[in-house]
Amino acid sequence: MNIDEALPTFITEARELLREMEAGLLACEQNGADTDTVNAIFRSAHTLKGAAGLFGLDPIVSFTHVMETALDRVRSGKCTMTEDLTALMIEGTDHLVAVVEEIAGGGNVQALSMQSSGEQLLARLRVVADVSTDAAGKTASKPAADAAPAAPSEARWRISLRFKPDVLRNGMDPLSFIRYLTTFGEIEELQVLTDKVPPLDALDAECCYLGYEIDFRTTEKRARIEAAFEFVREDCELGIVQHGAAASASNAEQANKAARADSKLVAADGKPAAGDAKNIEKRTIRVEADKLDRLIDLIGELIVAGASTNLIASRAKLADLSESASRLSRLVEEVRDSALTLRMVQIGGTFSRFHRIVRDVARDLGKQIDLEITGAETELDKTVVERINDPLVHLVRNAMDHGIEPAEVREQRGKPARAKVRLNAYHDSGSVVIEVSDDGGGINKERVLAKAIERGLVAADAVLSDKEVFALIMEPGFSTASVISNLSGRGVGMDVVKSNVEELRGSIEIQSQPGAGTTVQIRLPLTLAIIDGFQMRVDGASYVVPLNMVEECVELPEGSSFVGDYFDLRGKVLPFLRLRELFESDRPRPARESVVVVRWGSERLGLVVDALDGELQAVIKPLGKMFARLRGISGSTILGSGAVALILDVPALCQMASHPGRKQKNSALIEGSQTCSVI
Amino acid sequence: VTTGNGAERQALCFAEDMTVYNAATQKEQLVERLRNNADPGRVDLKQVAEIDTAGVQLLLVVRDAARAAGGTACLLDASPAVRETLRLLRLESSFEFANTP
Repeated sequence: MNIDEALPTFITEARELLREMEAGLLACEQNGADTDTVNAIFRSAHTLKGAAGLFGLDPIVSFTHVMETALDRVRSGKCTMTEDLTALMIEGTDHLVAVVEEIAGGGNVQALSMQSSGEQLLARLRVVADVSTDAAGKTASKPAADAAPAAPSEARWRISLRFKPDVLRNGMDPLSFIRYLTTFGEIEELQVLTDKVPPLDALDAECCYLGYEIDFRTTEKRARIEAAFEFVREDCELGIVQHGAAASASNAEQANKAARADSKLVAADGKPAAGDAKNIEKRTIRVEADKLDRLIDLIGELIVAGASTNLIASRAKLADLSESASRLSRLVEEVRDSALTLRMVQIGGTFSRFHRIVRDVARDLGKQIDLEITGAETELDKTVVERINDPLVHLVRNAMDHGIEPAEVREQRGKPARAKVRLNAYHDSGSVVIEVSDDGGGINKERVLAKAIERGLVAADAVLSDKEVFALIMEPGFSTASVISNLSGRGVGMDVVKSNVEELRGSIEIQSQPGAGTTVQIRLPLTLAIIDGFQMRVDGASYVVPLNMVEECVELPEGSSFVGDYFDLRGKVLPFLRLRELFESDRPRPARESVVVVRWGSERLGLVVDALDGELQAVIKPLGKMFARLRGISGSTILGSGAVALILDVPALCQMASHPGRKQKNSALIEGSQTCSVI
Repeated sequence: VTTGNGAERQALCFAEDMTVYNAATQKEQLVERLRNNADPGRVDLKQVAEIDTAGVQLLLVVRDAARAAGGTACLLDASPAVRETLRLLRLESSFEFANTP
């Protein structure tokens, strides 16, 4: 591996480090600068500087050096983390992000010069943090300088220490060697590797399980460092690599070694060096998303092939074959589940970016707004996470701009001047719920209704529930904002948010209390690719609904009459849809029919079908463009027999059942479904 | 050792120096106390003057137990030597610290 090949790894790492720095700085701004946070930012800056030095990226090295020096002064109490300094540092990270992106975009690394904005920033940083210009200036004006410019012969070393388990029993304490190091140099960074520590039950307390990675700065030669570990030579593996060697061409081999060591660290740790020790313990491997997608595709094919094998096995009536086939399908199911969890990521990463957005927007608006995040550890499919980001940004901005009242109004209403925007996520029966809420003024129901009537979206005498009124905001072309600010107009773009969510097979709902705030609730399916489905039949054609939405199946009592669109399920009113009618089948009904009760959020619906076929694994194939406008169907899947089954869009069906008037609009669906069933 | 509900759980107590000489005993006691519902979120180090690698390992195990329970291990009355060692290993941020009056 040469340096160029390792560059993408550096870029990923740099992005992460910068994100962590930003998060830390935002935390400082909000809660004041505590030692831990400043230390964490310092460490990130320092790691970034070291890594950039390895690649000879001098613009980054010299810039981070000034930030690092400033942070170090804060750490040692020589200057305080003022609001000005924090804001400057945030600008600084922005600058670094721009530089990193330029490198990522193939910008010529050697020709990269300090942009003027960077110079200005540096100058301001130096003034605010009172960083003496000679130390920092030297680095800035002499870009090829090593990351540690203090003494000419000083060098930075990465010392990797892995002790053998017996070292403690042999009367040696690894700690004392590390302490000894500090007598002839400075430990800049140290990581304790705890991955070998077994769970408590299996722990032998007299064994040493810890490893250490140390960044050490000294004027002494390598031999001196080696000598420090002489007594323990037999009991440990020792690796010593000089940092920053990549800058000089004559040291090519060593540079390669260093790069390898570094990239290995990155690959093994996921989040190297930054943050505290917990980052090292999370062993992760970076895998290209394309490879994962390919794997999921293959597993999809596997499931389809498996289903057909099952079918053949059951037809062949060979006990051995059936048994083997069912064992196989169980394994396929497990493989599917674990492959899908590979794609699951925590939503926290997306959420945490909102700290910055909320800060910036709040400044623009001149409002005091805090962001509160809960449920950050909720996992959902990576594709979903990526695509939900933009709608969330829109909703958060909306909430801040229009939801939250100006401070004076808030005081009049007896609310705290600092407003709150909340992001929350949780799992609920096979779907993920993401909520954006604010404690602002709420939505004016009358105004929404008046506007909707004016726009001809609803009839003047329509009787609508609160939920239905608020849903009008998301109709295309609806806007109640009399003044539209540059940020957003409430309603403007809400239709885009809605269609984005619906593209992900999700739904969106608004709750609002006048004077108390608004909550927008987005409900999304857990995954987009493969689901556990429940198969049923109407008039010879198969249909599938996601299994986790099925509540129960009941037999339709003979002779029960269907007056209206509801029937009585153990004393509760249940709206129902007859698929037979929905898809305009004119053949006679079978003697017995069944009802599948499905649930989406708070809504329940009965689907009347001819027969129940039971569970299956369904690989969701998207419908072609021709059918994209169909309501009530979200995709198709291939059955073991090779036949096509349509996957029903439960949210859309629920909506149809609760708005019977809109059924007429769906003639396209009915025409389409006949085309579908003959694919 | 009695087990109470969450609020009354006992702090984990290490009663002597956390060095390799005591490590095996302390590990057994640790297993025992955690089984008896002692709180890994509060670790009483009043009687611990010295600590070495073996002791650090035990503290890391306690830290992980506290994390697994959704909290942070808080070290009560940690001696200067203990703090210095954790600082040297950059592990201070893994714990909280508190002194009892």
